[in-house]
Amino acid sequence: MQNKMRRRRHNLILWSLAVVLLLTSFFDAFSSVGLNRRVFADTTAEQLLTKCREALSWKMKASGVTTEQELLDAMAARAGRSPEDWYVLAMAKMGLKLDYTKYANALFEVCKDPEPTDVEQYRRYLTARAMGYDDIPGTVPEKLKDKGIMSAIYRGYAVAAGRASSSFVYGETQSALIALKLADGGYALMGETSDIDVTAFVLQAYGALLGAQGKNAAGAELMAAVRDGFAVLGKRQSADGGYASFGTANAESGAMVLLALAAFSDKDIAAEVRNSVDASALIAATDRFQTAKGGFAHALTDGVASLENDLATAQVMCAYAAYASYLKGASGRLYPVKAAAAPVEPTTQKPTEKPTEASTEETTAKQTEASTEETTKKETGASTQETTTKGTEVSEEETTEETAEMSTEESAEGSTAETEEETRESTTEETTVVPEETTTSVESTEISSAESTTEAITEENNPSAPTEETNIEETEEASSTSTSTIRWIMTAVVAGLILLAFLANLFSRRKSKLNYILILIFGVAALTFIWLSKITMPEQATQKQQQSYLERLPAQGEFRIEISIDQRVEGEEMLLTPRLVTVSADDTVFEILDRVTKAYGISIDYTKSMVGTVYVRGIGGHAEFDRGAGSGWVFLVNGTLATTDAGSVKLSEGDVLRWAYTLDLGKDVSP
Amino acid sequence: MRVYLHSRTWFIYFIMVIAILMSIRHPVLILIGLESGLIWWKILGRKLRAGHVFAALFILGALAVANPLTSSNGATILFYLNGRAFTAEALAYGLLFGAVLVVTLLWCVILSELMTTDRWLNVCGRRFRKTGLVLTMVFRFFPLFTKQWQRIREGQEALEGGSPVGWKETFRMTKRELLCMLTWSLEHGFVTADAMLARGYGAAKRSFFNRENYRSASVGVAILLLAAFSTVITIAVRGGMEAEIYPYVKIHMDAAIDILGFAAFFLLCHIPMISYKVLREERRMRS
Repeated sequence: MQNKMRRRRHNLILWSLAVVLLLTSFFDAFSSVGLNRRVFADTTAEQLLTKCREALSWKMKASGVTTEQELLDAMAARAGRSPEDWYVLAMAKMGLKLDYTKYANALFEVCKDPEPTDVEQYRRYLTARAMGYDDIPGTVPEKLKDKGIMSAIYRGYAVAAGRASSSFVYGETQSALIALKLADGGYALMGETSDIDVTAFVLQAYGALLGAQGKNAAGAELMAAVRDGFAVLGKRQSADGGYASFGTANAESGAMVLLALAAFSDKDIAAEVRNSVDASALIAATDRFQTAKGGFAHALTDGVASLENDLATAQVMCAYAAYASYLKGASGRLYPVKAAAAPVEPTTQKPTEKPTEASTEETTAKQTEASTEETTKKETGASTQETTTKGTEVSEEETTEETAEMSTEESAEGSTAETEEETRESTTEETTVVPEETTTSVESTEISSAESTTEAITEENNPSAPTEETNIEETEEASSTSTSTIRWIMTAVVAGLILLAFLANLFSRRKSKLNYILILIFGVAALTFIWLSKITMPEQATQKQQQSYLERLPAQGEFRIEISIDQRVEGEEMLLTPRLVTVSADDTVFEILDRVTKAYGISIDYTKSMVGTVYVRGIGGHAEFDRGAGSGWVFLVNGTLATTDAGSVKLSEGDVLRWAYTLDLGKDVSP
Repeated sequence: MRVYLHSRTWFIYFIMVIAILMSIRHPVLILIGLESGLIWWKILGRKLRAGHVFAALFILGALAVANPLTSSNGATILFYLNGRAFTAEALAYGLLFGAVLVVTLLWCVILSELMTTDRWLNVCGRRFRKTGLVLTMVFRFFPLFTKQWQRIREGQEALEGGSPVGWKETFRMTKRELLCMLTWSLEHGFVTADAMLARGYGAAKRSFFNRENYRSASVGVAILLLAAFSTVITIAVRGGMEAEIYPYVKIHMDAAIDILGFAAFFLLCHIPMISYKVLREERRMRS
């Protein structure tokens, strides 16, 4: 009896032990449950883009053309006017690879209109920005000439897109908009009842301003206004999910609300603010306005969409393309947004004549190789050539004594002591070291003016991009102090380790001579490794140079490709949003990735075999197997999942390269 | 108070502590493991020598430096070494991994001290008696071999007139020692097998004799240990006590549930120490 009890007891212990051990082994399986919301979002985005393509094909048929390029060129006749600009915005947002030159030239002609209204001029500027141009020839007003809410809204877009000469403009713009808020939290053209379209427009402007400044700089007042605005939109959503304006249910109002939703990333606003509008019901309601031919109608006649409307189609296309982009984790804003940290100076102002703001740091720095981010970034059309070159024609001598300007924000946090220390050192050398804080705002100096004036017809506008060799040299020089510090720290660490091993052997019971010899050999090997290795620092200045090098104009045997890195984490910005980089024909996918990640300060983890095959284990800290057994990095070329390693694939002109984090061996990565 | 713990209780104790230390890498858990391990070290009457500390620090440092050299995972780039990113996160991971290794080694020493061969036999028990036999024989053979080798070496040195000089000499000597060992172990195997046969091994079904039995204290302690262990594991599976290293170092340790987990692990490590008086007596008797 006693014996039986005893046995039962020990069985109990054994079984519970087995269960607990099983639990531990399932540890990994448990922790990777519930990840795939992102995949769902991708399929919705795909559906939205399909609708966009249908609508575009209707428009092409209606205009009697067969390709998107022909449509674009045909629309150039009415560039700068309402539905056409919307179409172009939608096409740009859809990510179509088109040649915008003809449309842009027509748009720039229109911009010379002597008496434009503020809204028109802002819209033309924004369209040009969306097409990838930096500016338009006409003046874009900073102070409003016209009264009225629409010009205030468009000024918000334009300021966020890069039309802010100082950080004060943001605050001024947004407080002007907030001042127009009605009692219920919405906005209207006139009267005291808030209007859906106008409210959605204002929210889009808030989204753009928020994106340009960041949450902290935008302030609580803006966040409150955003919350109120979405509350109004949520209240006014009809039972079927759609929206009505002036009593009629219509496609455009819904499209505007969708654009407002897309204008905020998941990081910007809380989920409950976003959820006050039911987005999926809104998309379903908007889909009802699509006719059998693919276009969208303004309103329903007897519950059926029959008559296509140009403006409705264009706006719905914009909304769908933007929302799809938001769902995919990229920016859902219709207009480009430029971060406020480095406000763009109007190009007509000479960099040397810049006024010094409060508590600036005077650095007698001779800059031989530096180029503005702004001027190197985008190609500008032929007609903008004259205005831009006028601003950038600066000879080298003029810039020998340059006042580095720091924005007020930067000077507040910039450590003066550090800056001084580095400048003192820099005066001894010809090419000087510029402290990190200052380099971000130092403007361009060396511009090959002759080249840009003579070749005004070509697209050449860039200051000569620094070559790779000078890049590396500069890196070495600029960070030599910190590099040697790193070397000495590593030497100290290795010396400490040698000492520890020596002491451990000394105090151990069995002392062996062989151990001392081994310690000596390993120590010498480690120190040799440290002092022969090439160490570079991830500095902002270097990265800026590398970035502008990536965006150089393609020379012989070079071309541009689009690259993006998507870690696909809910509510996080992509590691690298899609952007064009110049590569040479010999570059493999891995070499491109390596260069781009270095330029943007993203770390990569990879293994390289003796025969040259490369396997990328992690990008930006997101490593393989982090999210389940089938997770890791894959790359897609033009939407096709690559089946070979990154070290052996080469690209050709116009290819779209996308690095994506897969959860299931690449099966869940949509093109 | 005299508390005897059953061998199986000891066994699951060590398995659970080492499993937790190795599977849930969290600095606080490692610190608790280090602290309780050092207490055991003291209880067992071992001295903490400077050599141990230096060796532990060396392992820690070497792993911390080696990890970022082989893996550039992590988002914070400190610098580029030969074009490869050297990240802060990889450094942190190396440190954490080194600490886990050191503490696990410490616990293995304690395990080998406390799990004597008779305990291993009792752990395997009636059901796995052959496994138990093989295990105990293996445990016996290692020290036996080294002792025998030493003896052979001394004999050879006496014959040759001193220890060998030069690597050729050493190689020849080692070869001869190995041959001696081989023949000795074959012979010894025969002797052992004959002795076992003479004592009636294989004649009938093997009986199993065990002096230990489950006392209430032993079972109670085992249940407490299992409860603590399941608490720790449940909390870890639910996402508590998480030390995220990649892409950014983020160590969670201030939520109530984390503190509960740490407390459970602390109890798990310290409960069997109540039998330390017994252990002291055991030690005195053995020496």
